[in-house]
Amino acid sequence: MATAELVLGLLSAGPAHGYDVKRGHDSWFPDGRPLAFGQVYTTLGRLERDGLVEVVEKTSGGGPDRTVYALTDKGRKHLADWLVDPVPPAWGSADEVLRKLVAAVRTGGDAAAFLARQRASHLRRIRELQESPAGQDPTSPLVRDYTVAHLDADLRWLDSAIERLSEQETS
Amino acid sequence: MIALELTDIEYSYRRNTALRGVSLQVEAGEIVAITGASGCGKSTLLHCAAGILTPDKGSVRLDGQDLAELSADARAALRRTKIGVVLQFGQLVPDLPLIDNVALPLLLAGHQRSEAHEHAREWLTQVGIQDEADAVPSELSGGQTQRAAIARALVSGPSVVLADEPTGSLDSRAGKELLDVLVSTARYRGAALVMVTHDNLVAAAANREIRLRDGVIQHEVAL
Amino acid sequence: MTIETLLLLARTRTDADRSRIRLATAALAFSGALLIDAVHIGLLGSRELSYETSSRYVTELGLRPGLIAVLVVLSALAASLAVQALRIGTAARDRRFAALELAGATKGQVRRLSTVDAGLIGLFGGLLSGPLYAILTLLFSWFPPLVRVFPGTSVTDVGVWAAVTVVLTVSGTAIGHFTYRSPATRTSSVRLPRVMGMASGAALLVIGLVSAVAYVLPAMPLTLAGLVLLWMTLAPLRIQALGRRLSASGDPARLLASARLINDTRSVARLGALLLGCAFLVGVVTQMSLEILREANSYDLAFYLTGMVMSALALVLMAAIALAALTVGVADQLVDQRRQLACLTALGVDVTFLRRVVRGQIAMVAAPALMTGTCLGLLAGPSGLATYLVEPLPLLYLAGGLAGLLLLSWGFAVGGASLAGYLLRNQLRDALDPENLRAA
Ligand SMILES: Nc1ncnc2c1ncn2[C@@H]1O[C@H](COP(=O)(O)OP(=O)(O)OP(=O)(O)O)[C@@H](O)[C@H]1O
Ligand SMILES: [Mg+2]
Repeated sequence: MATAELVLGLLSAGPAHGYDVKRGHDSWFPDGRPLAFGQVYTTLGRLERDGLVEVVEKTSGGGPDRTVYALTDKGRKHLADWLVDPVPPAWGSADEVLRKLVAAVRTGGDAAAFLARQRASHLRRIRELQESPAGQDPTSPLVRDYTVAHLDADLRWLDSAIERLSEQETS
Repeated sequence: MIALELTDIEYSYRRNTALRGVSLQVEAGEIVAITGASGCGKSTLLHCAAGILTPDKGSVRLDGQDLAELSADARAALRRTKIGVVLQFGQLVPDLPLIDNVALPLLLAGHQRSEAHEHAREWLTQVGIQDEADAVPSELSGGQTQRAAIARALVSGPSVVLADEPTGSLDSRAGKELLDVLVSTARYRGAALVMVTHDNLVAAAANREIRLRDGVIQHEVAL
Repeated sequence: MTIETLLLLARTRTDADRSRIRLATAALAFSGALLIDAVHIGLLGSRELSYETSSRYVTELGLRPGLIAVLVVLSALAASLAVQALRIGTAARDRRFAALELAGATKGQVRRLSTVDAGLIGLFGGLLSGPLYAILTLLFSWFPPLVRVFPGTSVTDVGVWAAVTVVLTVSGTAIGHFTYRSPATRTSSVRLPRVMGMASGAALLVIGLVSAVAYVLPAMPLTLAGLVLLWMTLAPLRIQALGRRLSASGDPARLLASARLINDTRSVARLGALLLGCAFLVGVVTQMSLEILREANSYDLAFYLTGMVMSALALVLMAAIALAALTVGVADQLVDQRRQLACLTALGVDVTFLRRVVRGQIAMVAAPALMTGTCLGLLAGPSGLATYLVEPLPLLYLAGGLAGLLLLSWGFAVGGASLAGYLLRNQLRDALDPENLRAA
């Protein structure tokens, strides 16, 4: 899961409390499942251990909700690298693509370039699947059709995302 | 070797500008997919490449030969021999049986009818409509018409094949079959294939995707 | 392109194309038959013929040149109709040529197809002209001697027939070659500037009318030319205005009719001009007949009137063919728009309604041309304006003639349009067939 990178993205605008991170996440994905507080703090803890974020302020009482986190240079670089990489097309990859796209748009990354690369990677995958025959057993062709149909659906969504972003740009 | 080279193409219809400076190079044996929203200029670009439209600005080179430097007749001859075109609509000659329609490029080049028919029949078989050889276009379904158009584009052994929505009116199964004919023929002959398409499964067959938006290239990615 | 290919492609036609070609062939055959007749009479030289078997127009040596002139003029009119029929750019034909160019046919090759097409029509028209001449001779031999303007058949006619066939084939070929316009270059074709056409037409008309006071015969062609020129430049404006008015109507069938009128203004205007020419000559002939009737004591009454009636009939025949050409245009439109029309079925449009639209469309073009033509012909004929000035024709005659002609030409236009609607009823039904929704 890419929750860690999303948290990095949410911090890229400036230092914030864990509570702000949770609220930010929920407003980025209004139709999605809200991020649990527990998950925010474990993620922040792991990121701090890896040196991707640092604690910049600890107010009185010292509870976890009173701690302000900020991105380190290493964290910033990690986020940028993540945004550049297309998601390997597979089952369930759409969620991840959506996360990256939202993060890229929200943090001012190059969303258009990301979408173009993502389209290419999906198209390549479809070609690979089309070129290699499915197995002979009763279910392999079903699984293959399922995968191709879902990649196609993702691609259509990517298409409309490209259009929508270009429209926003020109307007 | 570069089979098709478009440089800085601009084209305006009477009321609107369809292309605003598009450049594109296609190697022999390469398959390129042109995508983009409806009305972004894909068909116009293809028509310019085929010499059907003359661009207002920029040049079209086919095997190094600048189309603008050729006479109208030489361009027509080029369309007959080196370019195979599959258009979005209406390109079969009404009231001419399918077999003659497919044989047309050969007939116009001066081949004997029997010989031209022999080739045409082979291609009709390839695209799966050999049984309709004597039907006229108005008696065909949309998909059959499209198959015939593809057969005709391939019959003269062109070095550049330009196809506008080649699988547009086919279901996904038939579309894939026809796409396989197009792609394998192009690969086998080392011909350049440029396909305009909305269909991701068609675009996936390409080596490169070029996406147009409002008459300019929005992005270009290798696949 | 091999000869076989050339013939294959030149012969491939749609139904609308076929009726266009039948019309052109018939007009050429008629033109050829009249030409054979003219040459036949010319070859008689000063040979005497019996009054028993032939019309006095043929037997009297002094009248022969006049008859020959009339025959040649009629023949030329018929031929111009054929040219017109060949030039009707049927939409189907345009699309065929465009598709051929797409397949890599050069402009030259497509032009060659059009040339061969027209040449074949010339050839068939020529071949038919001989038998038609024989049939006309036979037909006329059943009438009283006075109207037998076809003075029998002879061996030399075969030679003349062959010559006429060659001439028609060659001219057909030439017409096909020179009148071909690529569908692609349609918009950029050069046109006579409207103002110039209008000015020169008006000038010719005025000169013709004024000089008619002194020189009746040479003035008439001037008047006619001026009239036709004026009509050709003004009619498109009127037709376009009409089309625009129709296009503002909310009725979908009228919208379709207006689209065709606007797109095809020029060929409609040309056919209108042809109708106008015929009508003008009918007017002239009527006026001459009136003049003869007025001097009713003339012992030659039957002789003159027969000539007049025959000329008038020939002209009416021409006008009928011109109307047929208009009808062919409408039929072509029906085939071309059959998909849109089929959509109308869903909106409750039926054959009767569509027939009314078609009828209106033809009458709209034909009636004004015919009515204007006959009236002006009546006024500008050889003993027309000139004599009216010197010696006013009794008002009764003039008014009666005018009213009669107006009524007749209106009736001819409306009747012709109704007939066309009737003849097209099957096409109309086919056009409305919902199955057309599948057609390309
Ligand atoms: N003959 C024409 N006259 C005027 N404008 C035209 C003509 N053909 C196309 N256009 C306009 O030019 C633009 C590009 O048209 P084009 O046919 O190239 O689009 P396209 O990308 O092929 O669209 P689609 O995916 O719908 O086929 C459109 O805005 C269209 O309205
Ligand atoms: Mg298009």
